[in-house]
This record gives sequence, C-alpha cells and structure tokens, in this order.
Amino acid sequence: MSTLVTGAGGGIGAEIVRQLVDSGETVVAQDVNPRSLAQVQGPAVLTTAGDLLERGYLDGLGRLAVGQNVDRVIATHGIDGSAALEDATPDFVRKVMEVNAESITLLLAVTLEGLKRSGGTFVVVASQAGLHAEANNVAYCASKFAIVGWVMTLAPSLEREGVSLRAFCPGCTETPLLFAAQERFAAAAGLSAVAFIEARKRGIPIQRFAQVRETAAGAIYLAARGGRRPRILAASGGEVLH
Amino acid sequence: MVPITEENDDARRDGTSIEVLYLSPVEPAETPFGPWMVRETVRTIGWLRDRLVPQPRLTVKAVVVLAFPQAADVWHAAAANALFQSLRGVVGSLTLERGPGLRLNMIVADGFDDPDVRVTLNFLASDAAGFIAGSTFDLREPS
Repeated sequence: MSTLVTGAGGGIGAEIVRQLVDSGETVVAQDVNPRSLAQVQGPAVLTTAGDLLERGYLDGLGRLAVGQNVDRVIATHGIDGSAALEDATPDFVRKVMEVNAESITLLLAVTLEGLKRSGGTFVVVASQAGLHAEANNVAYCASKFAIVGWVMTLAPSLEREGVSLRAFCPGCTETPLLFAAQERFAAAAGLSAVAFIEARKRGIPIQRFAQVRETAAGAIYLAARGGRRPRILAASGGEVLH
Repeated sequence: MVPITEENDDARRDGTSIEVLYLSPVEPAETPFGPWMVRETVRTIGWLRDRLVPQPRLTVKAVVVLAFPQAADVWHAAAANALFQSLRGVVGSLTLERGPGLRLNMIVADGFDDPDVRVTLNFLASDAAGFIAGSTFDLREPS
C-alpha cells in the first residue's frame, strides 16, 4: 500500500512525502515540475512529473496508482490565485479554477476504483480561504470554496462505497506561495510586505503562521485509513473557526 | 418600486437600481464540474469586473441569482454545490475587497420564476437593505 501525493515538489507536498517516508511508508510523488521532485527522491519514493489537466498524463497516473496499490491520495497541488479584481482576467481566473479545483475532481475520477477496492482515503489540501473569504483573493477563494463544497456533497456518498473523502483547510503556512500572496495583498493595501505580514500575524489568535511540518502533519492525520476523522478540518491558528 | 436592471449606467450612477446576473447552468453534462463550476465562476467574476473596475468611485448594488442546477446524480450534485460555494467565495471576497463601493449579495433558488426571488431582489434594491452586503439568500428550503 502507498500514498499518492500531488504537488510533491512544493513546500507542503514535499514535507508530507518526507513525513510519510520517515514513518516507513512508500509514496508516489507527483508534480508538474520534474526538477522540483529531486528533493523528495529516495528508495521509498516513486516520482512522476506531468500536468494533471492533460488527459493522457492523468489516465497514466491513474494506472500507476493502481499498479502501486495506492490506497491514500493527498492532493496538495495548487497555484497562487491572489489578485485584486482589476487583475483577475478571465484567463487567470479560469487557470486558477482548473488547477485548484477541477483537476482535483479529475484526479479522484482516475483513482476512485482503486480507492474503492482498498477502502482508501482521498484528502484535498484546500485552504482556510475555502471557508472564509479574503480580500484581493477572489479567484483563489472561489476555487477553494468550490472544492470544499464539492467534498461536503460528495463525501457521504463515497463513504457508503468505502472511500473517505476529506478536505483539509490550513491557514497561513510558511511557504513561498504564502509569502508571494502576502506581498500582493500588501501592495494592494499600500503597505510594505513586512508590515502587512506582521499585521496579519497579529490577527491570528496564535499570532504566528503555521510551520510547514505542522500543516503536513495535519494532512497526514486526515488521510488515515480506518479511523474516524472530520470531513472538513481547519488548521488556522484560530483565525478561521469551523 | 426600485428598478431592477442588468445594464443601466444612469441608474447605477444615481444609485437607484440594482444590477442582476442570472445564472442557470442547466445543460446536461457528463462531467459537469467544468461546464458548471469553472465556466460560470469565470463568467461571474468577469461580469463583476466589467462593472466595478471602470468606475471605481461609484457605489454599485449587485445581486447574483443562481438557479440551482437539477442534479441527475451525486456527481452533478457535488458540481452544483461547488458552483454555489464558489459564488459564495466570490461574493465574500469582493465584499471585503471593495468595501463601501459595493453592495453585493447572492440569491440561490430552485428557479427564477419563484416569486420570492422577485421579492428578495426588490428588498435588496431598497434602502432598507442598505446594511446587507456579502450575504447569501438561500430560498430553496422552506423556512
């Protein structure tokens, strides 16, 4: 049995791979950027690079998952969708929606039969922006609200077929993607990035951002097979209550 | 009665009208997530962008009305709810972003012919609803 992790070349995805390997698991690590996967390579990790929106690659990934006896999928891939409305062009919005939401539904479709046979789990790493809207982030919020709504509706049906579908909604996690978004928020608010980030931290009850290892651990907790877990889990330092 | 219009710059300028986007993603689709959620969200953000960005100093009252798609199966139901939630994200995000220059809300109903849709639009167009922004009016369930 093994776990498929998408977006495995990025901050949270790569850390999930490391934590799984450290606990003795085997992993199929996927990313659109082949060079990014170098950081997770090892004897317990099979890497695969490609675009989840390309039908041929996606079908091949589904076959690979079956061949590797994947019984858990953790979808961490995504792109920064932060932009003020002025900059949210139709092409930009469409790309954010396709990568952050639609590709996850396609990924489930090609892995679902295997998950049914194994009684597996499929965890979407969404965002607290899927539970609570943010300014200057309309496309990203739309994509994350969408995928959380999709999970809420579909999960009960899949549970009757033995598959657990869950959404993890982390808050601000110290990744390059987060800091890039904060810089755009700061620019939109007319503040320096440092001042904006400090103000943002003060607005979080815990008064700091999450470390990557914490967010990775939350996703792995939610991906457990055979145990009861919440369908939607927010890990936001108290900033967003759910 | 406050006029309800989709395209009326004069009325928008003097604050007496409300602009309405009607969404009714009903065509059958084998895989509905893309045609329903992606396409309709792109359309909605584009519609709002066209109205808000060129005239940032105006106060705009707008409503997105979603006729909740009929679901043939759980996959369609999940795509329909994804669209609904996506639009909630749009309404919430732009309400926070645009501040007092935008009073944007959302209605979800089983269809546009529901008389309560018209009642709600008229209410939202009135001064009495001046403090309602970023809200969702779910008219699908009896209350």
